Amino acid sequence: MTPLRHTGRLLVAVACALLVVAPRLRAQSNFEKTLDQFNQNDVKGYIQPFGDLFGTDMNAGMFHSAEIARTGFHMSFEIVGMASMVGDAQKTYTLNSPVGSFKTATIFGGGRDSLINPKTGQPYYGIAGGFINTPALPLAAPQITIGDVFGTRAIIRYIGIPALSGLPSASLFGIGAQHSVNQWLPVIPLDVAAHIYYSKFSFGDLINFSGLAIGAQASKSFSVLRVYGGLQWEKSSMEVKYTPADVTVPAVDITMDGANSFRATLGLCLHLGFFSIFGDANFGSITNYSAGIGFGG
Amino acid sequence: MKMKLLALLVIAALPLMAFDCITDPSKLTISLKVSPLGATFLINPGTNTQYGGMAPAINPASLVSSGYTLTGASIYDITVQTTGPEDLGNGSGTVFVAVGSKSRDTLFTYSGTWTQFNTPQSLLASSAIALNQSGANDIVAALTSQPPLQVTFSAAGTVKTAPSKADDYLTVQVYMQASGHKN
Repeated sequence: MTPLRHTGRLLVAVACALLVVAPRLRAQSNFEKTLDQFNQNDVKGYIQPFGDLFGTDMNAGMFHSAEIARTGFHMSFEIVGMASMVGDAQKTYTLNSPVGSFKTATIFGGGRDSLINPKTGQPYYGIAGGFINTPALPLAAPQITIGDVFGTRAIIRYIGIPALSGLPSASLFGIGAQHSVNQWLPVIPLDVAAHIYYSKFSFGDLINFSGLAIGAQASKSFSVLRVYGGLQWEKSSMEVKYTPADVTVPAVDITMDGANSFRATLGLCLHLGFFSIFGDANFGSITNYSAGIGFGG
Repeated sequence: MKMKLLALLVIAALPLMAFDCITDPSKLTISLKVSPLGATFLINPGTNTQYGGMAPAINPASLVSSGYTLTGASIYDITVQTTGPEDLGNGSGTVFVAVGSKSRDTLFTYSGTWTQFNTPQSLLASSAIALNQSGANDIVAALTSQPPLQVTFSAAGTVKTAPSKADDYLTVQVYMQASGHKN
């Protein structure tokens, strides 16, 4: 697959993730009316897994090497794809209904579940069945890593999608830094670095996301193959805000804190001069995979 | 620039690609908000301890957002509350429902003390209310019929002590959940 076609496929994944609801809706009024039916707590439980998986994606794929020179020129342009796996825990949530608490489908779940009302013998339903049927929530972003100054390398991500056909604009931005630990502890037989990374995503006025990741990583090169791994503490928060056109309907303002707070990463990178290809697995409360290609050194 | 152009092309191509991972939300069956059906009955002052009456007819179409096709409905709770300055003692009664041109049917019966019902008694939490399923089915049919049928509540009951003034009431609220999808 040529780099351009690979980039195109990854951008499709970005667009699918960013515009997960909007592409199937003709006008904002349809989405308004659907949301109007639900109370805030129901909506939060229903879409919480989306916030969890999206946050895990946003905090993935920043690094694939801990080898940072104390001083030198490094610049690499990379396309990184991530995917957070939809597990069983992301498919249901507990709805506190007037007739009792019961498990029902989230946005990734199956059909609408129900609880039989003991007084009427009739089912009381969850708010809706799932409507995203996917084994993983994908995301992709281009990033530039640039350095190395005093053993420090910057990581920058950005993608902007303009408003189009009635859909609001979207933007993804991330900035971070990796700092070499080896320069302070040269006896370590591995390359070791620490990083901090902040990210932001917005989709019109509807969705605002922020994430923070702090961690450490190590890598070791064997000819063209590099093994890398790391530990990372992270947090993420997604705000979904919506004001219905009908002023008698209360506005929706939901903040979801991402479920994933820690991950262990293990990955491989094939470095072939100017070109590299890498992939890693990330294990936390949500399993995530990232992979990408890079151009530069 | 090239990346932005590619992004725009991809977005333009999206409608042509069958993203089967996402169900059209307009085809999803969702639970719909139904405003409660309510009725208030005056306990007439005087010497007669029996009371009754008929409440204004309710158009169920006004209780659900327009633009949805209903595929089902059910009653999940009923509350009964007494208001007024006097304690009318033990009471009991029946609330009926008439749908369209159909003759009325019993929706539920209730019994207890007037002060007990000063705090709304719920079908879900109290044994003071007993639902009649056929009456409940009539209300469901009224909501899901095309077009929806008018619903009229009426009541008949007794209290131990008739009120001296016309400021004692019995209020009934019927809570429903409907299912449907966007038109």
